Amino acid sequence: MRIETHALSAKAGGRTILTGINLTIEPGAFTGLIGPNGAGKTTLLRLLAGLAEPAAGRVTFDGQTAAQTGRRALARAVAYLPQSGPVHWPLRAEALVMLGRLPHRGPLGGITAADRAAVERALATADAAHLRGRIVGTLSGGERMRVLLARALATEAPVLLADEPVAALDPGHQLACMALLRDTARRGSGVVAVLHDLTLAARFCDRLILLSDGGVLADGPPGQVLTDENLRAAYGIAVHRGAAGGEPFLLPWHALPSPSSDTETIR
Amino acid sequence: MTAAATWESRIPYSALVAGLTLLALALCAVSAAVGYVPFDLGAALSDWLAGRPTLGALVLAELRLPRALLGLLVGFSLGLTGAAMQGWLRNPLAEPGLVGVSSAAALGAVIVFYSGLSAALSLALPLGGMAGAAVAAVLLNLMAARGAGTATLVIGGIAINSLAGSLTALALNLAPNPYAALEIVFWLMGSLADRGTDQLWLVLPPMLAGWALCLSGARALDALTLGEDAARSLGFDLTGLRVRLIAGAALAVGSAVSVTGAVGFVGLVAPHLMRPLAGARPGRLLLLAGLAGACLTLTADIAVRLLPTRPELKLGVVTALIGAPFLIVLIARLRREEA
Repeated sequence: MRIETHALSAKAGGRTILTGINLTIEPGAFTGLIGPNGAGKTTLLRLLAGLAEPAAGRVTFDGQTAAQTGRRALARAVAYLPQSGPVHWPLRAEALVMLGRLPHRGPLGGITAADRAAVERALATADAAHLRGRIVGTLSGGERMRVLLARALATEAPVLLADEPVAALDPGHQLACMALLRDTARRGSGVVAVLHDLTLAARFCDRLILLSDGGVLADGPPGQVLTDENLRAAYGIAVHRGAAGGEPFLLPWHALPSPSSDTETIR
Repeated sequence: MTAAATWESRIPYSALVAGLTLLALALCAVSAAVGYVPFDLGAALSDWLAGRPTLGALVLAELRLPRALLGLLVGFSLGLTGAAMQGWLRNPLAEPGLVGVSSAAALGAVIVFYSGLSAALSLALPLGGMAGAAVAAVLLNLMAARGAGTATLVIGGIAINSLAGSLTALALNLAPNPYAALEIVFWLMGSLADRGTDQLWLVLPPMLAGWALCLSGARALDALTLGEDAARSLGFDLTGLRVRLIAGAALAVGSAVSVTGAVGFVGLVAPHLMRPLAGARPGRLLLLAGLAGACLTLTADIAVRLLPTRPELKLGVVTALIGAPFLIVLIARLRREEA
């Protein structure tokens, strides 16, 4: 599945969030969607999932619009993991992961052997098999995210869209979750994740899309996107760079004075 | 989480459904056997089946059986729609009464009472109730279509609820004579006494349609456990779900209220009793809560006839007497879970 956006614009409450976005999401790559708060990352991800109507332009899934693709076919093709992932009832983890199979089940059809197998694979991949009997509300933040990720993986969709999947995790679980998303992409899925942690984004993603002021400021391999100039323009920060085991890394180091206060200082 | 949330039953779903169905049918039989005149159920049943027009057969066919079956239908409707509303609004305190459908149905029936139409046409009362429920359903749908979130819908439903309640009070206030007001008050308390086959046949089709609409949302309600965006990403049309559930609740509860008056708390209590047995899955809960609602209503209706109080206690009074303390315990438990 290849998702393309054509001159995409989005508005919320009369305010323009995104304008003129042209992107292609390819299978087999782990793409990080980065940018400052309010840059429109979640809006773009929801548009890519077919969950929101663009103000202008369109999103196509293998060349077809969401309406042409059809609700259920789209649900089988694109798995979406919302930010913070609410769970409203005290379900057991296994039953929750089984919800990811809903797009594959007929209106009256029961759970099939294929559904059970997919749930087992998802639980194993997300390292959540031992949590299957637990009630979701009793899980820790890291366990809960693994179960929710397993739910999204259980759909076995060619595209996985995740909104801030590592935001609430401790460093160990962040690393494990990023590796899991990268491995999912290695197995052929197109994975797009909204990320705030630039260090993790630079290390694990094949491609970064940097959003700023409602547009794409940079798009490409992490090394080309995370330049000093781009980071200053988008986030107003300077970074510290280094290398560990031959891998380059960067750390947000200090906030720069904003351009407007800059000019005031010069005057 | 409390212990109640963790004791998920390992009883298979089909066994639960079969067991509750048998229990409901058994309670129907008990309900038909219980009454104020000595009555031989077996003899009456054989007379009725053989077509012998004995007194027993007549009492069974015209009084006892309609009362028992209406208890079953009304209880199932209340339990099912309660579970549907809770799943849809993702709020464990939701029920058709909370979103105003029940009280709007009661208002519709009261208006018919008040206008004297009920004296002219016995079916005017249920039809008025259904019309009231339909008005509430349309209002709820209009609010939701304007993009109201679930919290806003609950508040809007409470507004419909209190508006219908105060209009009912207004009708009582302006009642032409004290006797009419008393009649309305007694009717509002809810009862299955002296209902006949006419009412049974009138409410059966809209109830069945309402049940089908609610049950058709089972999968979507399961998906809504993950929130609206995730449910839509799993391929569910939430606008269609909303229209089906509100219409289903209006059909089922509107017809229930219009025949029995207000029977409170069954819609709230039944889903909570069954939730642990359904593994908290909102879709599975629908049928179980409906069956539990039928059992609760039949039990309460048997109890009002066995209790020695005369005149007989109103069904709605008994369900509220049991339901209100349950609600208080429920709120206390929810607070503990949040703490």
